[in-house]
Amino acid sequence: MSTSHQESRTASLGRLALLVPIVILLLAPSLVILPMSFSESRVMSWPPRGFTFDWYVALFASGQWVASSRHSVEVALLSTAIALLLGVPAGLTLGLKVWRWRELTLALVVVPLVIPTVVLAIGMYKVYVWLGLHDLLGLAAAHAMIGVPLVVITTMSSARQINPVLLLAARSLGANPFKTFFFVTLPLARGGVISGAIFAFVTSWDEVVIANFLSSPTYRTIPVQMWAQITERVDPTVAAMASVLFVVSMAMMAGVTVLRWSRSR
Amino acid sequence: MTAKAIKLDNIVKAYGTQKVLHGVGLDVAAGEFVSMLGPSGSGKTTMLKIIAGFEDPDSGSVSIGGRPMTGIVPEHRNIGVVFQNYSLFPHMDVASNIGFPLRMRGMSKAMQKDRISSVLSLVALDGLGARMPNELSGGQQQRVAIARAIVFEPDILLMDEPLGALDRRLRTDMQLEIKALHERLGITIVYVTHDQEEALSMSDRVVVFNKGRIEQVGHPREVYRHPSSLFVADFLGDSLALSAHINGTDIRLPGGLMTAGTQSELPEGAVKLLWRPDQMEVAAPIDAVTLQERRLSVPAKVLTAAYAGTVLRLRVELSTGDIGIVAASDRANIAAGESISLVLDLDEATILPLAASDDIPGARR
Repeated sequence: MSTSHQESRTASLGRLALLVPIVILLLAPSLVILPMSFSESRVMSWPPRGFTFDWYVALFASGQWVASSRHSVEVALLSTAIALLLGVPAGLTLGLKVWRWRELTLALVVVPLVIPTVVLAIGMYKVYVWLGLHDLLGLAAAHAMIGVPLVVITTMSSARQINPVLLLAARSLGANPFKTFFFVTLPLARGGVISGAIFAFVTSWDEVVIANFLSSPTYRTIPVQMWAQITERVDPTVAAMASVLFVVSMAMMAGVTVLRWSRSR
Repeated sequence: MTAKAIKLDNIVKAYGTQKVLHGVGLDVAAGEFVSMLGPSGSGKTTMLKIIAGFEDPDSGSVSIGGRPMTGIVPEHRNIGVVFQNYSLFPHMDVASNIGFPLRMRGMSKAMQKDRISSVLSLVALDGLGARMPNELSGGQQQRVAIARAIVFEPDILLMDEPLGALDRRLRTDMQLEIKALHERLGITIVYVTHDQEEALSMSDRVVVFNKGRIEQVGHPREVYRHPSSLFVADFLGDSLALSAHINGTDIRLPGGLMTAGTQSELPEGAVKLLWRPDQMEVAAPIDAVTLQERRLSVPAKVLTAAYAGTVLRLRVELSTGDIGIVAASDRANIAAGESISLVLDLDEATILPLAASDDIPGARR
């Protein structure tokens, strides 16, 4: 075996030695929830005892959980749609055009990501009550605000890879600005748009702080429902729900990764 | 294909305070191959963008086939454009790239297919329709770009340094192919380049740009042999320029020699007498400038000697202080530092007035 091969093997072993503890450290707290959701104990406890699907059965039988799942999907879909509608044109413009206030515009767009969510939530609560925005519309609007910068950033980074001459070429070949957008610009920025959409969806799906302020007892998303349940009684249905959430989120992020990987090849 | 004429009338364009075109006017005949030649920043690419409609002139107008283009967007001009670096749509295969302008024009699928396959064979890429652009070589990509720019039968074809990204051998091949394509299609072509060889070998006429103005327009031989300024002389190739002075019909040469100018319309005052490398003879060293039957012999020193295939390219300094490039036979064994003399035929010289503003880039080489 050649030395370079051995060296690279040592290097990859070293990397693995670093990676494994980091992954465990990051994921272990979340993974604890998985065994607890199968525990026979009536309260959430560690270590888990026995093995049962009871809590999953209870979860899917409960009207409250089913309703909150539906609400979560509605809010996530609607907010993602709004985020795409606003964020894609903004991201493409920021990625393709250069103007004097470009950096400032970008900074302003990103602001919702850096303001503490609680601060946002309190402000929104006041304003949205006054506007009469709550439940689905209120939540979707609020989550779209967080989603827009995510879509803008991913779309912009894709748009930056586009050779601007391609857009001139399209025009010279007979495409008006509208057709140029749909046949050239958008397909070329597709990767960024899709990952932005997934990020926006997952963010809305997981969001609890703003949702807590803007939801009502009759319109709760999953995280809000979980929060409410944990403060009332600690039964492992929450663990079951958390496990479902965890798996869905992981699956979506895996989707983004696979997408990026397949595009980069 | 129906070729159309182009008329550029007093085009002015500035970016901010930077004026890039100072009133450019040019008539291109239908079916003509015209090269716009000039250094970067001379305005040639801006001119092309204005013809294509990517930029609007601040004043002046463009007409194509007698139709004024003012206010007409690029997609309605029916102009084919070939860019440097191919600019194929990376998300479409070759056939879709070539079919793009046809699709934009609402052509039926069946007709598109016919056109695509016939244009593919025109650029010698039969059967490559299903390839993606990144699976093609640079030369193949540029052929696809050309195919895409002609498939919709444009009125004119604009090419912006289309061979700039290719290596030398391929570039020469493609030059011949583009020229053959021009002859076959009879289309009007405006070709932008900074490569004087390319411009000279391909064009019906060469337009030399300098600092936002047209310096000279003419047949390649004319601009090469009879440049109208030192800039054109220098930009189009190597030369040697000898300082002289004209007084009426008398040419005062270095070394106190005088002769009568035979050329009509001599400029007055300080001039440069210019010869191309092949118009000079290298001879044995002499002591002083001599004149014999209108042939001037000037002592010179070889600064550098570079082997360039069939010729030796000599950079020489004359006893008068003028510096220039001479071509000697590669059989002559001349090395740097050697003393020689140059025999210059006064009747072959191009006489150029030395304007105060003229910088003489040749002198720096």
